[in-house]
Amino acid sequence: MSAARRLLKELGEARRAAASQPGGGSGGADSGPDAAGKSQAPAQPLVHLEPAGEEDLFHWRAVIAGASGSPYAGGRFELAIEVPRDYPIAPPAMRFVTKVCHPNVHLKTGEICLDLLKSAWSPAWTLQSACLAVAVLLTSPEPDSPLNCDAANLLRAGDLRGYNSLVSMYTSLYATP
Amino acid sequence: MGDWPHELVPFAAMDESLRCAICKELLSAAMALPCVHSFCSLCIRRHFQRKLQCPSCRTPVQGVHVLKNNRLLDDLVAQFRAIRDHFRQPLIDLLAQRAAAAAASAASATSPGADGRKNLDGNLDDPNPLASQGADADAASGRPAVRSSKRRRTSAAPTHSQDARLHDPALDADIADNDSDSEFEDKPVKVLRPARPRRQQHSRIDQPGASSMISPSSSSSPLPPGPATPLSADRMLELQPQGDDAVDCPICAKRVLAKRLNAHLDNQCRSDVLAVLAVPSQTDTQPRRQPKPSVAYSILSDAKIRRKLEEDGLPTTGTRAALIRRHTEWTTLFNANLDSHAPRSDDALRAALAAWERAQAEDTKAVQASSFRPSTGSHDATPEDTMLVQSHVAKYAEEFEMLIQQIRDRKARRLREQAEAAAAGQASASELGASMATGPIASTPDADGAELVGGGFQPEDASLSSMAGGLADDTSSRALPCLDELELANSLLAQSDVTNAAAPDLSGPE
Repeated sequence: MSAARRLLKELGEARRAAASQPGGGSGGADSGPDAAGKSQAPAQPLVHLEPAGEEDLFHWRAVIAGASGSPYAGGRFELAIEVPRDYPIAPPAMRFVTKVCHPNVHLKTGEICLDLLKSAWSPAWTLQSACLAVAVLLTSPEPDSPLNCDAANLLRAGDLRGYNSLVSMYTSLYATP
Repeated sequence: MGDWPHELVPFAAMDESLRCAICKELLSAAMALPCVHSFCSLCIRRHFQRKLQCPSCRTPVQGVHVLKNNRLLDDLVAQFRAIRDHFRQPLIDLLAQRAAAAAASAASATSPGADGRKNLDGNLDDPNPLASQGADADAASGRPAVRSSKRRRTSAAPTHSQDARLHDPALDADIADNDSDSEFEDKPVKVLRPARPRRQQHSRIDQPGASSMISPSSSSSPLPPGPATPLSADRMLELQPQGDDAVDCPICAKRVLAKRLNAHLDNQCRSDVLAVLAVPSQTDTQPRRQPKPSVAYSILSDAKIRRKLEEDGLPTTGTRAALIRRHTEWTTLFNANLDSHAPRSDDALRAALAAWERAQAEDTKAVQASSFRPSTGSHDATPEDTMLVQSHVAKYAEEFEMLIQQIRDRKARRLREQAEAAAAGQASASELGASMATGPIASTPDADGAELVGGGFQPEDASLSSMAGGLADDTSSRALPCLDELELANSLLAQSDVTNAAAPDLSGPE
């Protein structure tokens, strides 16, 4: 019950942020611990955040934009969010629907390795701030706990050029509208 | 948050900061952690069941006992809630009016639009005209005008501050001393006045008592007219301690509990004000409820947990896990309820618990229903995955058919054998009747051999046939799920094949 109430509030917040975004710009960024999300990209990385269906508040869909200047630039990455019933206490489950080449994202399943979505979750976070955290993860990979060993190995070997071209290939193949 | 118009940013900010970070509602029974972040009691207690750290700053905490009531926040929330309920709409209307007026004046071309805009802003900076306007709008919208002549003098939200006072007897006493007339106007029930008949009081007023100090209204200022007088007198009578352990105070002639008399006198009869107000909370309601301790369920037997539930009048059905969950939630609800200003009754809590349990049941049903859908596993099947599954199914279609056929044959044979055994049982029953007449016969060793061959059958011992029947029963009942198991195994096989094939390069721990 309380999960649904809170999700409704978040939905209102997300809609308001979406409404204020085209006009004002800075508008609806969450006050949560997502300062990095705001600083790293001039444009809002979170393009879209809505429930997947009309009826169901517990399945959401988000679209984040790749940060300009990174190999993900120009890409639009779709996230599927599944919200548990004891939501603010338990973290939402997120995964990429769009194929993403990233050391901490599983290439096939889209699973995301981010402590925030597992052990480090705090109920003070919101879906919005979690999406922003995922957007930040794209540009700051953590190759030491990889889900995609090939990408992580490139990074660990210091082959930045190889990594960047691989990522931008995947981005242009799968994530460019 | 969002329901404040753009011009009222400070209100929106205040709204935001009075909300619980967990449920995003206005704080209810705010509890402060050692790091002085505050959350709703219920929210933070639920969070602590999972993780003992502050949700905002991740500071580790020891346990539930570190939580402290943050009454100041509670009061702030109560007042802000009242402000929001009573003044938000008038303010918004006012803003709209001004905007319309500004637009009109701009349109009439006597002054440029910037001027009207400036006018609006200037008014916004000064809260007073807004507040008084808001109060006017209140009165105009049909709300009873409680703030008769003092409206301008009192603050913008007089009723709310009184609401807050309601819970603080000490404060009440102070107010009764120096502000009693305004109290009379607004809240006749709360007048603090001895309930003894006036005559008696006058007879004792020469004593060095403090009755006039406690309630100057009764002796010095005229009593207010209207229904306030009998009401408050009745109320005070009610509030006074009654019964054997109450005695008359020799100084102020009020009835005081005997054990409180000394404290009452030491305080120059002032404590009486507190005592009178404190008494109903102890005698009217049940004895003070204590918070429930947390329970180490792992060392308790099911029966003990049931007994615990029973003691609190809760249902004792369900599995052990359900019992534990119910008792945990009950403890959480109960303790969180104790933290609030006006705790609800146990019955209300029980209703809340029942509602919670229903919601849980529905949720698990919904989750199960959704997890049976093939698409919502850990991830949606990609087109390649489904293709792999289909090719696998096509490749082994013959073998699947064969296996299924085998199972069907086996099942049919069992059924046939069962029918035969039943027939044998009937036959042997009649045989038994016959043999009873002739005398007992030794069990024939050939009989079960014949049965095993399964061709014709021989009349045999009743016990043996019933045993065979039982055996057949047993195997046939096992044959049924066997078919399901096979199908399940098939699908599992298909699944695991797919995942193996689909993820050869999947690697590494996360």
